[in-house]
Amino acid sequence: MSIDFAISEPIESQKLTEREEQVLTLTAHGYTSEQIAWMLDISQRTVTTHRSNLMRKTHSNNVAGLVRFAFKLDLIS
Amino acid sequence: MEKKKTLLVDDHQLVLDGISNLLTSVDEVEVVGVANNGKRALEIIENIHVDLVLMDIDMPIMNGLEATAQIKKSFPDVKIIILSMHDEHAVIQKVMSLGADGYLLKNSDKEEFCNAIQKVLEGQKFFSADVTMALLNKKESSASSDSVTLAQLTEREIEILKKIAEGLSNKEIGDQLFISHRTVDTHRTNLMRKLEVNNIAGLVRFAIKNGLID
Repeated sequence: MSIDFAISEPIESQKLTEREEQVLTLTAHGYTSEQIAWMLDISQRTVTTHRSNLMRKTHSNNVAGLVRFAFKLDLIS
Repeated sequence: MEKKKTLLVDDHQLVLDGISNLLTSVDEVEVVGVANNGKRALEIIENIHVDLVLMDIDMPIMNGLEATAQIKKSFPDVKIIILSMHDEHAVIQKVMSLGADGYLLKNSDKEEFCNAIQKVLEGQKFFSADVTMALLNKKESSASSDSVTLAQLTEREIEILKKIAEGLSNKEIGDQLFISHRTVDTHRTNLMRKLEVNNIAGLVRFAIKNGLID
């Protein structure tokens, strides 16, 4: 059986944190890392770390994958 | 410490009076002028030294977005805090891309007002936490592309849009379609213009909403 990780929800141990969900939502709306840092009052480096963790957890390797995942999790519609 | 010279820009006198009154108790700033539209604000900045502008968005003659763009172009050292009630993605993204330094709701309390001014004067950015939360809770995307339909795209553009949404790079798309990556880039640029989006996320949202990919 093949599993399409690109559209699978994260497994239990890989659940997104609240902050990761926020970064994912804003990324899917098209905000840059710099803009997200501004909006969440965190450093740009922290946003980059959250994005890296999001890519790992959602098995995405680019923004397109993250946007698809945000739809999958119903964070945007 | 020398007080920072501050200009208030809003087309409602009551708002100008209210902010002016509030700022009398903020040590860091002094109000050196008021303007009721963006054009007048520019005229003032061209004639007297201003450190900080508190700028409304919706104003006659010249709105706050255009004024912000012009001020930042000619006077990049002037700090600008946008004061508004807008919490739509499209407006916020525009404000950020113009180089504004802060975004504050008009109904913010004094503490948040002071915090915003202090951070911006220190060279940091300030964004109202209330607006961030409102934006995070808005599920619908900002895309003005809702009015654009697939019928307005060529077959080739749809084919390329689908591949972009699948996460393929220009080179990968070019290799698959036997065209150069530059041609793919031109299609990508045309897609963004037609769909009125300015990034990959916008293209992917359109593709998903229109059923091009799951």
